Amino acid sequence: MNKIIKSVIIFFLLSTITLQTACRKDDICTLGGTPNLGIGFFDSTAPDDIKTVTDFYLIALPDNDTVYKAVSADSIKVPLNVNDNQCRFIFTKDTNNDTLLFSYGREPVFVSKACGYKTVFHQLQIDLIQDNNLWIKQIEILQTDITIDTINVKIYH
Amino acid sequence: MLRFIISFILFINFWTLSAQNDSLSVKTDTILPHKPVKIRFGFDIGKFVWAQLQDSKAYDFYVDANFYKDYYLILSYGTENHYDNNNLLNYNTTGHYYKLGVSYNLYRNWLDMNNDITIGLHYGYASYDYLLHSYRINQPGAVYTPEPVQINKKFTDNTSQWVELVAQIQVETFKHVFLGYAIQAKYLLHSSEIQNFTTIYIPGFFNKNTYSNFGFGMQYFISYQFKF
Repeated sequence: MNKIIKSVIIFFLLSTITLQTACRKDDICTLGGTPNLGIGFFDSTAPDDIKTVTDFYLIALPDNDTVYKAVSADSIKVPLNVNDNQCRFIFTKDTNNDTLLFSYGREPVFVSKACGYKTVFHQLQIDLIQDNNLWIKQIEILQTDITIDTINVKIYH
Repeated sequence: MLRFIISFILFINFWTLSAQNDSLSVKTDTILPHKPVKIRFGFDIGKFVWAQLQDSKAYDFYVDANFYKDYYLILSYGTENHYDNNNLLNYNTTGHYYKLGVSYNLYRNWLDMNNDITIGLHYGYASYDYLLHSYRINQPGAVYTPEPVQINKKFTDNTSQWVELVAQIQVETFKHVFLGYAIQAKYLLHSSEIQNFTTIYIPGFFNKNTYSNFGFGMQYFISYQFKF
């Protein structure tokens, strides 16, 4: 009988371990996915000074998806297109539209079981599409490789 | 629910037997009968059925031999083709595994009954390949919705080793035919590193937890015993 009690205790212990393990969720991604392109806004007359944009819109082309809508910000996060090596966004400040073309190379990097693959971007290039009234004066790329969420690009206005 | 019912019935069976054990005192015969070598061949039904329900295939066979007193030597072999498709990854795991170990029977049978409750320590070795059919890039806050990327990439020649602590009940329901239930606490000792992928599923071990080397398992099996 003593042995039976022992074996029952062992079963309960094992069941507890089993439940503990089963309930520990590692199905939730905590390590992050594809990094966004971080853009900081700076003053074109005093390049070290942060300058907030007002009534700012960020629209992704060609489907006109709105990323930012009527915000004031000194920095933004731009989710680049992971299906293609380039994408275009309209940057709007006080109803003045400027279009930027982002070109880059893509590399899939495995993160974890729950997070799957993320894309890291290489050799970033940004072209400002010329028009008559540009509010963006200058674009400076700090890092051409985008691997983490940080400020990668400075826009002077 | 079905699992619960089956295990409940097994528990009830076992309790009834132990009650009978208490109520009667049996004098042992002074002439000991020849103790035969008992070898059991088993098949994991639970795993087989569960796999079928998930577009997968799994076969697990085992053999145990009552080689000395209450000790059993256990060898099992299994083969799996496991399919998994979530939002991010769509892949197959194919491979096979072996387990070898010793179990000890804690249960004293009444008369010529033949049930056992064992605990044991088993070693597992698996060899397997992954075939990643497609993946979808993980991009929180995407405006350009990531599309699935078909790559059909193989990650081959992966191996894993682990140990498991096993508690098991086997009940002789018909002559020579046993129904069994086992639970296992597993600890992964080693697993191959995979370039730009990871160990997700291991045949015989089940899912690998990202943050821990512990795993667990449950088995429902049917076995047939030969006596020599």
